[in-house]
Amino acid sequence: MKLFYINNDGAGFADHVEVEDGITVAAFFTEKLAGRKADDFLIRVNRLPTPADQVLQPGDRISITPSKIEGASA
Amino acid sequence: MLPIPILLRLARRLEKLWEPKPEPLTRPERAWASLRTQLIEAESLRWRIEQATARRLDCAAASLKQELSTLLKVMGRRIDELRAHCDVPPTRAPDCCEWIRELRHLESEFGTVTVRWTDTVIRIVTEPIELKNVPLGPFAIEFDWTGGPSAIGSRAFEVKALKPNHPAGRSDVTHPHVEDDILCAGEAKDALDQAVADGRLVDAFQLVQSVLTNYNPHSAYVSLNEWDGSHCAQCGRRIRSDDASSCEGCDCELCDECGERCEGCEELRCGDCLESCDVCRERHCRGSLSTTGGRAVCSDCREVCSGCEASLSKDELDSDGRCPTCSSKEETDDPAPETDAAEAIPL
Repeated sequence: MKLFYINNDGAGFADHVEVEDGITVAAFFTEKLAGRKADDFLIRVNRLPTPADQVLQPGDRISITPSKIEGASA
Repeated sequence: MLPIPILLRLARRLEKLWEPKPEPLTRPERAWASLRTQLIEAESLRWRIEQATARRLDCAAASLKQELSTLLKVMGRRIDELRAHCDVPPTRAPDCCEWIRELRHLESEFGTVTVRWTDTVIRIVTEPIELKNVPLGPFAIEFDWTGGPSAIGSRAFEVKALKPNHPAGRSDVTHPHVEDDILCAGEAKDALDQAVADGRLVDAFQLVQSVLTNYNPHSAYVSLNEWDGSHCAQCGRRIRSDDASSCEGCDCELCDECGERCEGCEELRCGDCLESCDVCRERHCRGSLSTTGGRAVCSDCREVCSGCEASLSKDELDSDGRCPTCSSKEETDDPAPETDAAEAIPL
C-alpha cells in the first residue's frame, strides 16, 4: 500500500512510499529511521498524535519530526 | 480558534503565494539551446569528414573524427541532464483546502494562532522554556509569509522572547540559538527550508520549537554556563561569574587579565581607578597619591624637608634633603662664594 511520508529529519522531504499492508506506526518508524529512538520524534498520522501500535491505512499521511534537534550560532 | 472568515482569507492568501510560478529561463532551457547549437556543429563536422574522406585527406579526416567524437560525448551528457529534468515530478502546491487543514492543525498543536495582516505574520506562542535550569520564558514564533515558498525557511521566522532573560551584557540574545530575534536553526535548517517550500507550516513551526527546546553547547551565541556571567568593564570580554573579580574602587567587574594592583596599597583596581605617580610613574590608586605642588605623588616618592619639615616630592629636594626654599635660604645666610674657596685651596 502507499502512504504519504513526511520526514523532517536531516534535509527533510515529503513523498509517497510503498509499504507492506498492516504495518504499524512503530514498525514503520523502525523501517525508516533504524537505530533512532521514537521518543525523540513527534509522530503524527493524518495530523493527529498516534499510538505506536496503530496500523497504518492506505493513503495515510504520516509525519515524523525530530523533537531533539540542535541549533547553532550564526 | 481562528474564525472561519479569517481562516478562509488566510488560506486563500497562502494558496496564491504558494501556487507554482512559470518556470524561469533556467538550466533546462539553456541546455536545450546548447544542444541545438551542438547538433548544428556536429552536422557540419560530419559533412566536413565526408569531404575529407572523398578527397583522401586522411590526416584531416582523422582529426575531424576526433573532434566529432568529443562533441558527441558532450551532447550525450547534455541529453542525460535533460532526461533527468524530465523525470522530476512536477511540484504540487497546497490548495485552499490543504491550507485550511494546515492552519487548523497548527492550532491543534500550538493552541492560539494569531494572524497579523499588516505585518503578514502568523504567530504562535510556546510554553515557557527552561534549558539547563536557566529559565528563558515563553517565546512567540512568528512566520512572515511574504516570501512564499521561495523564502529561506529559517529567515522567514522570527523568535521573540516574551519574558526575556538576556545573558549579562547581551541584550540582543534571548536564547543560546537566538540573536536579534533570528533563530540559528543549525541541524534543522534544511528540513525547515523544505517544509516552508512545501507549505508545511506545522512541520516548520515544530522544527523551530524543537530547536528552541534543545541546547547545543558547542555552537551557542552565549553558553548557558555563562548566562549569569558578566563582561569585563575594561576589555569587554565575557567573564563567568566564578572568574570575575571587581575593582575595589568603583566595584566594576574585571576579568583575570585586566585587574591591576595599586603599587601602594596593593588593592585590585580597574584602569580608570589608577593613576601614575608623577615622580616614579608607578600606578597607584587615588588614595595612595597625595597632591604636592600640583603633582600627584605616591608615599614612596614623598619626603620631608630636613630644614622646614614640609612634605615634598623627593625630586624637589636637594642632595642634603632640603626643599628649594630652605636651600636658597642657606645660600643667602652663607655668602662665601665657592669660587673663592676653590682658588684658596691649591695655594
